Amino acid sequence: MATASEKGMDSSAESGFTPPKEVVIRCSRWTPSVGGRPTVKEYTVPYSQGMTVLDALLYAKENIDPGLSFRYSCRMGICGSCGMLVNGRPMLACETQIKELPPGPIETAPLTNFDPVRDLATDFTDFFEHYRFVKPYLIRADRDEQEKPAKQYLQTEKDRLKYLQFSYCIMCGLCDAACPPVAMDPKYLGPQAIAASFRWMADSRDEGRKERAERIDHEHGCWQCHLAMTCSVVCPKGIDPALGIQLLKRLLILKRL
Amino acid sequence: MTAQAPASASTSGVETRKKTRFLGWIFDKPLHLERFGMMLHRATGLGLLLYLIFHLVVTNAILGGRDFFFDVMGMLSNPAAHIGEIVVVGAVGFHGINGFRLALIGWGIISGRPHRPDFPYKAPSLNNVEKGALWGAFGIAVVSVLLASFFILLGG
Amino acid sequence: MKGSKLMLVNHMCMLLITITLFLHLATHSFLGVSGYEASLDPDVVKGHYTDTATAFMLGVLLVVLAFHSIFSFRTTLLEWRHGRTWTKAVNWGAIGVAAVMVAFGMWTIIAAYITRW
Repeated sequence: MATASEKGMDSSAESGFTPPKEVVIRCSRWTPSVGGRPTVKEYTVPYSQGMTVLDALLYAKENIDPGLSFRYSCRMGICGSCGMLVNGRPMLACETQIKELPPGPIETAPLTNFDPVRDLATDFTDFFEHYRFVKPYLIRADRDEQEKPAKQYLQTEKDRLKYLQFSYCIMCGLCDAACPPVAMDPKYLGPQAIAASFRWMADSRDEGRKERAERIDHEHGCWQCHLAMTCSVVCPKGIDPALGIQLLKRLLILKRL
Repeated sequence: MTAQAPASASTSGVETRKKTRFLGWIFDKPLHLERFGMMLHRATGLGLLLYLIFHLVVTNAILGGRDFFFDVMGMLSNPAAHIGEIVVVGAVGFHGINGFRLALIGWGIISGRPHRPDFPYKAPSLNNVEKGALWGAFGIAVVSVLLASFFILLGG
Repeated sequence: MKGSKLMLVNHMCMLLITITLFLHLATHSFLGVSGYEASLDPDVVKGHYTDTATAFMLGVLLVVLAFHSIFSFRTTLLEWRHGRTWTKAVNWGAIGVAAVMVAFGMWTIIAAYITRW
């Protein structure tokens, strides 16, 4: 049964939440290129109904400290820009309601497993490179035909459901931030790239399985996943990267048999 | 800025990330059942490897004759060694059953099926079967410890 | 060698470990012995090695355990440090250590099998 907050209704009475007048948000501040060490700055922000962590950060930036840096764009959980640690957990700032956090100061920090660029913004170079590496696009055997297709590539609903959920990825990076093997191994492609690879390998219209398998079937590919499954716990869009990785492993092993 | 083409087929080869954490991730959030299971699986695996090496050396004593082997076994007949053996059996129980669970998930047997994700999102891979299997592994570890205690400490 | 090939071998080793380790623990608790202490009697232990079936089972257990444990440990070592030199050193070191483990254990099994007190 969906709670009031899931239905988008005022749930103050139901959850026992007493709206505070203000919230304290603590932000990690550091510019590596300038030097020095990370510090934590506190901002006291007036609370309003339905306020998200991103709203609090924007208030702090607009009214208190214009130097505070973080990424955001759509403010509605579809662009994937505002990923950061909120109280130690990778989350989208725009989708995290302050009233659903425990009372007390809100700790924000840049995503783990990513090099910080400035304050709460991190370097996604490796992340995007790993994604490009798995060839995340339709590959057909006849490239000329693909450039000038003569007809649609038909697909049943059943075929579509095999990969549909993995196509909803917004590349927010929360899964890579939460993944222990990503923390240890910079060469590990990461749950996002591997799930993306499965999205294309499971697509009935795709004919590039062998090409992608070459790039995935090694110790820095899908076999580095040790089933911590934190990627699926933190994914804000229900992608379930862990499922994609395991189904990919199954594909590769069955190919062997 | 576009990255260069991959240097090799096996990795993207252009990683720029400076910092890695070999153990620091242990304290990352969220700590949930499966991640705890992974950490325990690692710890028991390393422990069992060390025990395996020790066990190979000890069992080699059989080549020294009846009396020598008897003396070696006598040295290892103390409460600390018995408790160590019980811990090893518990570790074997957990590591084995969890290993089966990991194999079943890796084969896609209990990993769930792809579906159309609708809010509130529930990941198919985090299903009751795999959670139950993990709890089962904990349970088998406890049962193994109890059985080992019965046979080792109470003389079977 | 492809990851999937190694993983398939690893899975087969895991299956064999389950069977042979269960038998090994059984022979030290209730199968053919009257309790754990009795199973550590030198004559009983020697009996395990001189019995062809048990000795073969121990040999299989040794080989599959050596592969599985060293393969898994290799993964951990490759997560600890990175680089081409380290990877090569770990790969060759893993093969070496596994070979030594198997050789040492096989020596115990074979020597115990063929010699008499």
